[in-house]
This record gives sequence, C-alpha cells and structure tokens, in this order.
Amino acid sequence: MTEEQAVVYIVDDDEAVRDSTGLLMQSVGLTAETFGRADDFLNALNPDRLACLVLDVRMPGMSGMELQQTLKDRGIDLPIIFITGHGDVPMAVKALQAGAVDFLQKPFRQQELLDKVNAALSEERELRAALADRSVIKEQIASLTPREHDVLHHLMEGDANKVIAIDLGISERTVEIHRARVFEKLDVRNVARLVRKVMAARA
Amino acid sequence: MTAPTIKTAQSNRVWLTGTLVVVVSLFVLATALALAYQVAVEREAQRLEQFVASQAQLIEAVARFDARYSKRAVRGGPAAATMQQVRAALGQPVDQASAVTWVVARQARGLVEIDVGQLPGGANAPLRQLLNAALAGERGHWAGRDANGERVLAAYAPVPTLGAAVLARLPVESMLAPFLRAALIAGLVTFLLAGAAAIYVGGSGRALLNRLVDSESMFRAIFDSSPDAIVVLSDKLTVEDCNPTALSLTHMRREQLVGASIDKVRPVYQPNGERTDTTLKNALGFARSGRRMFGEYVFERADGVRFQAEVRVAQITVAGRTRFVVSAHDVTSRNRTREELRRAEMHMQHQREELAHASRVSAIGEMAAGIAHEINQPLTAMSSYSDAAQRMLADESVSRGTLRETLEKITQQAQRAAEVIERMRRFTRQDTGAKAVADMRDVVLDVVRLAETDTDRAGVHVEIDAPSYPLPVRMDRVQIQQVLLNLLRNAAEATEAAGSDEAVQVRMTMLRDRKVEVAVDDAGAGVPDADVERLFDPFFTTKDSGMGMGLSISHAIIDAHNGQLAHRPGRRGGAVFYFWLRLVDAKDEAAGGGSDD
Repeated sequence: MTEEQAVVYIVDDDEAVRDSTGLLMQSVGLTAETFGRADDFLNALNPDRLACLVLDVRMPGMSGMELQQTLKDRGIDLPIIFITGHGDVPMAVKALQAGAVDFLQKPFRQQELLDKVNAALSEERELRAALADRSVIKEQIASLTPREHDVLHHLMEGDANKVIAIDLGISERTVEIHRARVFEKLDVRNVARLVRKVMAARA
Repeated sequence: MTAPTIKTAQSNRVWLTGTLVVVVSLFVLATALALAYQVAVEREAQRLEQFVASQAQLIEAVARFDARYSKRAVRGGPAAATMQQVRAALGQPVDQASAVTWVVARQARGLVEIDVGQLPGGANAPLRQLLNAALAGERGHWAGRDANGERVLAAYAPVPTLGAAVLARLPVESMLAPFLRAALIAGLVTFLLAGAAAIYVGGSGRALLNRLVDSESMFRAIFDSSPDAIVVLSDKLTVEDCNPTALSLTHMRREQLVGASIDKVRPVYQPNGERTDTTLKNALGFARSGRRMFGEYVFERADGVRFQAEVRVAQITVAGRTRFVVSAHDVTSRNRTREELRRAEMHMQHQREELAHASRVSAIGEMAAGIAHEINQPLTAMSSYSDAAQRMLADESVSRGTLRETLEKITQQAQRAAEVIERMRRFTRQDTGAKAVADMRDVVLDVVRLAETDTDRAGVHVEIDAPSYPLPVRMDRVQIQQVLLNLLRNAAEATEAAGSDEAVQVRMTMLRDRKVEVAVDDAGAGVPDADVERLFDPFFTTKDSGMGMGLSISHAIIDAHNGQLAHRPGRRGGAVFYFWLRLVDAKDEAAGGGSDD
C-alpha cells in the first residue's frame, strides 16, 4: 500500500498545548499542522488529504463544537478527537454523539492520544481503500431490502428520521431499525461516511 | 367649670352684690333717720317740759300772790280763786298755731279734780298716770301713744302750793311726716344709684367675662382634642381634671378617674424594661424637685390590657397652687411598628450576610474550577513536551538544540503553573482579611502603582481623578485592591489592543447618600452589545488567554461589601467599569475606625 502522507491538524487556543501536541506528533513521525483559531484551520484545510483533527472543545471565537458542525455542514468527513478541559465531559459526550471519533480529558496520557490518532488515521485509510473498490460497495448496496433502499435514499438527501418516517408512512422507531441495518450492511459509522461510500460507488 | 356656668355664676354674683348694697344702704339710712327723729322728739319733749315747768311756776307764783293779797271771797279759798283764773287763762288756747292742749288738776280729798282740759281713758291711761306722778310732786316728760292711740308728747310739773299739777300734751304725728318723706326720697335715690352702678359694673364686666370665657373655651377645646392623654393632679396627687384621651387610654369613666388618687394608674414596667411596683408618685417627686420627668412606661389598663406610653410630668403653679400636669402619649402601636421594622431589618441583614457568604462560597467554587482549568493547560503541555523529548532522545537525528528547546518549554510551563498557584494563594489570603476603614484615594493610588509594571509594559498611561477630601470606606483592603487591579489590567489591555494613545482614567466621585463611585474608564474598543449581559458571568471571556473569572469574582467581592459593580459605555467609545461603596459615617469612623467588623 502506497503510504499517503497523513497530517494531524491541531486546533487549540492555548499556545503551549498546541505547540507541545504538535511536537509530540512530530516526535512519532507524523506531520502536524497547528492552528490557534478555528477560522484559520478552515482556511488552511485540504479535504482531500488523509488527515485527523485534534480539537479543543473550549475556545474563544468559534468553539470546537461549532467547528464540528461547520465541517458537517460543508460535507467534510474528518475524524475528530476532542480534547476537553476540566468539567467538560458532558460537552464531550455531545461531541461524540455528533460523530466525533473520540475524546480525551486534559491532562491526558500522551501515548493514549497517539494511539487514538493512529487508530483514526488507519480507519480513515481503510475507508479510503474501501472506497476505491466499488464492486464491494455495490454488493453491499444490493444486499439492502427495498425498504432499506428507501431509507438510504432519504439519508442521502440528508433527511431527518422524523421526515423519513412521515414520508414512508412508518414509525420513527422502524426508521431507526432500518437505518441501523443500512449502516451495518455498508459498514459505516455515520451518515457522512455513508454518503461518501455511496457516492464513490455511483461515480 | 364650663363657660355657661361661669357666666351664670358671675351674673348671680353681680345681682347679689347689688341687692346687698341696696339693703345695707337702706338700713343705714333708716337707722339714721330714726335716730334723727328720736333726737328731734327728745328735744321737743325737753322744750315742752321746761315750758310746762315755767307755767307751773307761774301758777305757783300767782297762787301765792292771791293767797296774800286777794280780797275776793271765792268759795274754797284763795286756791279756788287762783284756779278760776288759771282756768280762765288756760281755757283758751295759748297759741292758736300750737297744738298743745293743757290739763290742770288738783287733788282734793283723795280725788283728782281736773280743772282745765280733758284726759280721755280710765285711771290707768298713760296720761292719767303722768298726772298722778305730777300730783305726787314729780316733773318730767314722756313720749308715746295716749289712750286714743294718738302719738303724743307729754310734759308734767307739780304746783305744790295749790296741790295741783300741770300737764301739757302735744300730738307729734305731724313731726314724723317730714322724716318719712326724707326717707322715701333717700331710699329712691339709693335704689337708683345702686341700680345704675349694678348696670355699669355688669356691663363692663361682661366684655371681660366674654373674653375670659372665649379663652377658657379655646383652651378647653385644645385640652379635650389633644391626642395625648392629659391628667391634671392636685398637690395631694388626686386627679382634678383629665381630657377624653386620658379616659380612652386608661379605659376609665370620668367619674372613676376624676377625684381618684393617681395610685390607680400604676406603671408595670420601668423605662429600662424591668418590672416595677413603683408608683407614678416617685416620678412626681422628681417633678416636684423642679425637673421635668420624661420616660416610657408600660401601664396596665383597668381591663388588664397593657399599653406603652411616653409620660411627661411637669409641675405648674397657678395662683399660688401647685399642680402636676401628666401627659401620656400612647406609643404601643409605634413601638410595635418599630419592633417589626427592626426585626425586618435584622432579617434582611441576615439574608444579606447569607447572600454575601453564598456569593463568596460560589466565588471560591468558581475560582477552584477556574484554577483547575488553568493548571491543566500547562500540565498538558509539559506532559506532551516531556513525552516528545523522550522520543527525541531515542532519535539520533534530532539535534541537541531542539531537545534543549523542548526542555526549556517544559520549564516555562512549570513556571506558568506556579503563577496560577500564586494567584490562587493571593486570592485565598485576601479572604481572611478583616474589614477596616481606609481612604479610597490611598487604595486607588496603591493599586495604580502596583499595576505600573503591567501598564508600562502595555504602554498605557493612567490618570487619577480624586477629590481633595478623604473618602473613608470600611473594606477588606486586599479584596478591593484585587478588584481595582483586575479592572485596571482589563482597561490597560483593552486600551493597548485598540492601539490608543489616550490614558486610562480612574475617577472617584461622590454620589448621593454618602456613596463614592470609583470608575475605570478605558480607551479601548468598548464592550459589544451582545456581550454586555454576560460580562459578569463566570468563564465568560473575550481574551485569548483569560479564564473569565476576573469580573465575576470582582462582582462577588463588591457585593460582599454591599456595593455594586457595573459597566456602562464610555464617552470615548471605550468601556467604563465602575463600582460604588458606602462611606462610613463620621461617628462610625471615630468609634470603630481600624477595628474589625
């Protein structure tokens, strides 16, 4: 497998934390790019690059959570590892629900962060490999029942569960079951990835 | 005594006096006239007696002459002859104008023979007795009523030679008439004079009386309408008078209170709140010594209900009589209200203290959270640097310079953590500080000097505007300095960020109610409207490296000083953060200056 140069984006308002984390990544041979503000990161981001984001939850200006939402809105699927301060656990849980890969509480064990970054990057790498093999994806899509197909169609449109339920004349609970099965059959964890996979197959 | 009673009494008195004067005058007049009449009668009687005596002597002389020289033979001798002549002479009225009638009688052979005139009545009639006395050799006069009931004067004298007597009778009824006329006229005049005098006295007195009555009515009305109970005591400490308020206050009827001894009204508690059996008499004794007694007592009413009254006792002396005026003001409801107010005030004070305590506790809690957050940052950095450095050691391609740089960064972060700890230490130390009175001008000056390192570095100039007089405020000096330092640092940073050359101004101004306002006015960009509401929220910050605790802690500190910290836009477009605190009163300063709170 040709090794694509992965990059670790680090966004944190505390200069020392930002700098030291970057140094840590470099010390294990990873490329790191550090940003003090979410805006700066968004401007510098190359969505096509194999990357992962280490993001501070609490920041002046655009917060980590807001950045996560912005990326989602722009259709950028980037694995995010949240770094939280004292007492931010509830916020971290919310971030996870919104699709973040993982979260760590400061001060964290450095090896732990490195493991999570590596895990995220390798998962991303696998995904990219999978996308390259369209026949597999097509098989996966073919294994869907007609009802699951309908749900997939709606998910591709970005519809919420409630909208899907009304449109298909079924209960929300049923939509959730179908949706879980679609995710399982296509081997994805979130809608962004699902979209990427289906789009790759159609291309 | 009421006004109509006074009028009636005065009127009666005038009439009584008038009548008395008239009666006495008439009595005196009548006595004088009677005396004059008696004197006149007496003088007339004496005159008559002398006249009778001289007549008797004349007859005597004639008789003697006759006895010696008469040649005429008259039956019965010379005496009879003389009597014949006398009869002839006296038979005629001597004086036509005179009303005198004469009687001449002789005693012969035990019988009285009247030769001249007549004597009505029997032997016992008054004039006959006089005649008998004259025959017995006596002379004299008499006044009285004769047998006919006529008022007469009579005089009698003997004629011894003849064995006869002479009696003259004069009716005096006519003598009385001028006296009676005089008495009538004098009486009338007296009566008229007395009447005129009475009318004059009565008339002039009435005007004076009316004024007195009006004055009395007015003072009575004031007395009766007084909201204070007023009781007038005699020197013997019995109630002489009282107003309706006194009756309603003591719950007694007028006839129960007036005339009763003051012992009936007995204070239950002394002004100092101790139970007392001392009667009001002691207080009166105090007043008697010339001092004014004043105090608050708790009394028990006749029906057992207690009331609180402010009592004043004054001694008054009117027309030489000493009395005591006791006035009592019912302060039961006022005291109750005052007590309720005091309790409410205490309750509020208690709540304020609880609130201040709570805000301090929450400030400490917030501070702990903030400290934890602030320490986690350098710890995280140190940990990462250290981890990276260890890997660099294993990688021979990494230069020693890079390694040293990384290690230096670890040191820097350790110092950063130490600074956070130091800040916390400063904050906790100030928490134990006691409050004392300090001049706000000194405190501000100290802080501005303290902050010079920061402000100089930021290139910001600070101006102080303070009044010329002291601004004594009871405060925890270190805490207030902390607040000022925080505001000053913020102002310097904002001014520096805006790149302004203008100075940060610290102004102290007196507000109403003895409050002093300290305002820190920066030349920065000001606070965006969206942020104004959250300014004092914990963790709210607009700085890249701030924990958002400064203003919230400052707010809590000023709250704990019963003051207020707030923000308003500045005239120069920057922000003004200001707080006010209450100045201590001059007497507080003198009494409690420097001591803890």
